[in-house]
Amino acid sequence: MSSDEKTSIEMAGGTAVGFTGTIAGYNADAEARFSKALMQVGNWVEKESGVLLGHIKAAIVKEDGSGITLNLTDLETGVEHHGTMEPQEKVKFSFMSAVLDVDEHELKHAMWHAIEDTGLDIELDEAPCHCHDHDHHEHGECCHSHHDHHDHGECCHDHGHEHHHDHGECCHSHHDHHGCCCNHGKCCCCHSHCCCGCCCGHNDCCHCCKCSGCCCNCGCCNSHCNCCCCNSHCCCGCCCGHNDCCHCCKCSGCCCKGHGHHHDHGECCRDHDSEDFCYEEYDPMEDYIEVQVTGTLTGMEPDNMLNVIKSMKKLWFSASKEEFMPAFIEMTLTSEKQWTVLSMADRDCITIEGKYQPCDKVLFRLVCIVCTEDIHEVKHLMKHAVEDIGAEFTLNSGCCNSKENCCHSHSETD
Amino acid sequence: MYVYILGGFLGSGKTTLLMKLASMYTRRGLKTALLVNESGEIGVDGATLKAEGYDAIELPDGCICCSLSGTLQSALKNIMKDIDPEIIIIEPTGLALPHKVKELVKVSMIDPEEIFIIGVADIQRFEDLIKKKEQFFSMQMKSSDFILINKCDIAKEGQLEEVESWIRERYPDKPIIPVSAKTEENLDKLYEMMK
Repeated sequence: MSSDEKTSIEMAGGTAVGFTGTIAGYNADAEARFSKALMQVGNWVEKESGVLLGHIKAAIVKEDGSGITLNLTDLETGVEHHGTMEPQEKVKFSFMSAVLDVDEHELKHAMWHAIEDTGLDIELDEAPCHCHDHDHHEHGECCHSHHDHHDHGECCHDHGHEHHHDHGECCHSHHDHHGCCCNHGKCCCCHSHCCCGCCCGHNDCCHCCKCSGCCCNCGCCNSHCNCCCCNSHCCCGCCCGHNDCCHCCKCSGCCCKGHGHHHDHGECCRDHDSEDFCYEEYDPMEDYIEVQVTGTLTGMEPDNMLNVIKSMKKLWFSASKEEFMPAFIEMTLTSEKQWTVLSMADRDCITIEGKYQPCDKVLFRLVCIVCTEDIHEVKHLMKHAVEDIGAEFTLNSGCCNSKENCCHSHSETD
Repeated sequence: MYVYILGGFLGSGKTTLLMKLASMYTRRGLKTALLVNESGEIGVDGATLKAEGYDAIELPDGCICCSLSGTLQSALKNIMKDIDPEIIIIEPTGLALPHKVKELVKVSMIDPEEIFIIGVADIQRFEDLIKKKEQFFSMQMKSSDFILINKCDIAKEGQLEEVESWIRERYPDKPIIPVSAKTEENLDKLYEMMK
């Protein structure tokens, strides 16, 4: 074919990219995490192009080439898994996406991020691109969401595209540039990042539900009357000054560190106006712990599957009532033929990935990230949550009192 | 020797169909070679096939209908030399134009008795695909010898009729078979039509 002739990929407006690497410590959890990465990329593609047309695939294989593959073509259906593999010390992986109407470089970048977000011990065969250089991520943060290097409204994605920042707008639709947000009259897309100046100038911070700490720095919460959407962060002044802090159950503790007990008089134990208070050193998650309960559930009927969701919600409320302030609850159910991950990062929303079908015998892992030092108490609530599923179960970490003999007043938490 | 080319968009179920066809030919006792192509530099379908117990020749990093046309022809020659199969099934990338692949197979000097294109339309994503890439999809289907409407097992009410009428209106002379490659629903009809 001549160099001028369009390839079929160009004709279709398609993009295909991929990379390879190795994973140390492969097991069912790693598979589920990798699967999540595929979903993350799928969601990104959908956000970028409007619809996921194409596929996102991964192969995780042993030295001899045998292994498993993951395939995502539809976000509702979730990731399809082919093959099975025993836990391995080290495996190779290939991760590729072939989709329509997204920028090739952006797609690869989204894939890198998704892989990074798995938290797996991963080594890539090729180095990520320059703008993904983690030398500038001093706090383990990514330039794409934390915007900490956009002093002049410049975009780290600017790969020679000189056309997209004329009006403070970003062609990448990530809206993650200070200049961009600040110059616009609305922050409707700023739902994944702190919008400082942007929020401060508005009365509607309703989209800031995932704000990573705008209140700490800009006082935007303080200046707003409606903190009803501040459900991902504690809003110190905001909560303190209001009677309705009912949504703060996911507070990451930006000011009160999640202790929840010192706001009787609208006061915050941390004096944010004090010169001694260092926002940069302050880690809002430092008081949070991850608690796990694992075991086996048998004879899962459709009702029990429904109860899993109910019990997660109940666990969230129980923990909130105990002032543990849950930040995340995740239930992983795996059997030989299927797996499901139910994630709850908000009291009103549970996302389900994988096949969510009744299965006679499943292994489960319930993870709860909460703000407390009392692991025993959290485990106790978690064990009750397992009990609430209503199926026969065994726990890997010993027994727990049944509700009837429980030291808790379940009438309160129930 | 017969060559089958599976045409269809990304995610339409070509790899699943390929596995079913390979199994069917194995059951019939015919020596079958599988050739899979992926547009990305990283191939995954080969691993998928291996995970399911099939061996396939993988041609990644380009499209066999254009950028990898030379590679396709060399691969076909090697397949003939090393395997000498009775059936070759080629799965191009979902961004390939199958009629171009057919042209390349014709001139690759492997002298097949016949070359068939099986068009695969994904019922689940049909509406979105037509909205976005109708022209490209039409180009993929136009040279098909028969068209499969895949993923019928998950079709919503009325969806099959809608898709079938869209295809029939444009390609009235082509046999159209609603199938599910995953559940093997109606695949026997396809098998009957294959050599």
